[in-house]
Amino acid sequence: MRVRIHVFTAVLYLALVIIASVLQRAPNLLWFGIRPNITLALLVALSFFIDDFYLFLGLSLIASALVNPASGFSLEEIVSVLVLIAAFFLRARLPFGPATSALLLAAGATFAFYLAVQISFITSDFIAVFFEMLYNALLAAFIYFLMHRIPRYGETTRASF
Amino acid sequence: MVRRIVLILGILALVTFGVLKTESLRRSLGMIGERIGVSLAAPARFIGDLAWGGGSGDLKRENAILKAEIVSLSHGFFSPKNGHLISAHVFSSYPFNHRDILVLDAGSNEGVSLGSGVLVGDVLLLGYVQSVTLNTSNVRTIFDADVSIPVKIGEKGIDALLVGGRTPQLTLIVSEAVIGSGDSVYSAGSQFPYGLSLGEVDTVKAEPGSAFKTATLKIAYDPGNLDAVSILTP
Repeated sequence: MRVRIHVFTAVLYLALVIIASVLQRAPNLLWFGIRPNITLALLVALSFFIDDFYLFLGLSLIASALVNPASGFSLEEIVSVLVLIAAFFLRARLPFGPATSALLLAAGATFAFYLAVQISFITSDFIAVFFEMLYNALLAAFIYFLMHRIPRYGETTRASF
Repeated sequence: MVRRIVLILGILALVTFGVLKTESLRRSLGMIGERIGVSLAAPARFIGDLAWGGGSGDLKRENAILKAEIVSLSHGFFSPKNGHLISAHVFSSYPFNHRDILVLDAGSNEGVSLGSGVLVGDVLLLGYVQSVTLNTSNVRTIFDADVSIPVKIGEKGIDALLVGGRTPQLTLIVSEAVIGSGDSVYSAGSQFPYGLSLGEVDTVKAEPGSAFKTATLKIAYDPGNLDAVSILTP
């Protein structure tokens, strides 16, 4: 039973990551000219439901590889994974509830991403960075609330199949 | 132990996948993304049309294209319509905000070459081809902060440098130059044919004591809603 739930939730998370990665590159998904980082928001929210670091690492690697499907690895892909790993380890250390933590972590991860990838973007277009932080934070909190209703990876008590 | 082996194998698989990520994968993902993006953008566009008046964006764009054609004809500039244009669809875009790169479904097989100008509505300069593969090309647009294009403004052809960004800026305009809102802006660099329209001057900002003033560029189309573009070929 436990293994079944593991497989089910892992496949669900993988499906969500693939959908988010595809959406991330969709040309028309701009909100007021700013593109939300859907994969980052999703993975930050998922980090509160995944206890297994290796599963989270795998999902992060897949997401970053799919988001930028050009040959080779780019700086953006590597930084995305590192920022998500940091978020994974920080999630339990924040003195807030999980929804608030997801919100703050998504905003922080967005800022850290641009800090590492192109610091000049923060100074030249802070409004864009600010709004992306806002979008990602709200999206992460929203996804957290949605995911809250789905049986957790590794949880056996809510099994119904 | 088993978990570590699985992890190592997984990482190896991903590294291989990362190195060998193929154009077909990129194309397929892009196509799927475009379809989903268009589907999800449709309700938002519908609500926007209800709130702010349907189709006004298209009208503005048509107006801008007509204005650009008039400027081009009256000055005897290069008309893209006389050149050879390749039509292409935008099927994917750069996933982060610090760059503005579009992926088009036309590549060297269709005759696209590096550095070619990319146009909206066959007239308005959007950017240039940054890299080409057999069936796709990456376009760096004027909304990318790393783009700068020498331009001229208005009837008098006042020199300026267009610096890309979410709101492209016209910089290095000599402070004595007389420019105003609505003046046409067109390309003057060597990388594109002379006289390709980019838009109009929006607001002009002059700082006291400075030798130069700046202005913002008014764009008559929504860069987030581009479905098709044209690529200039030599």
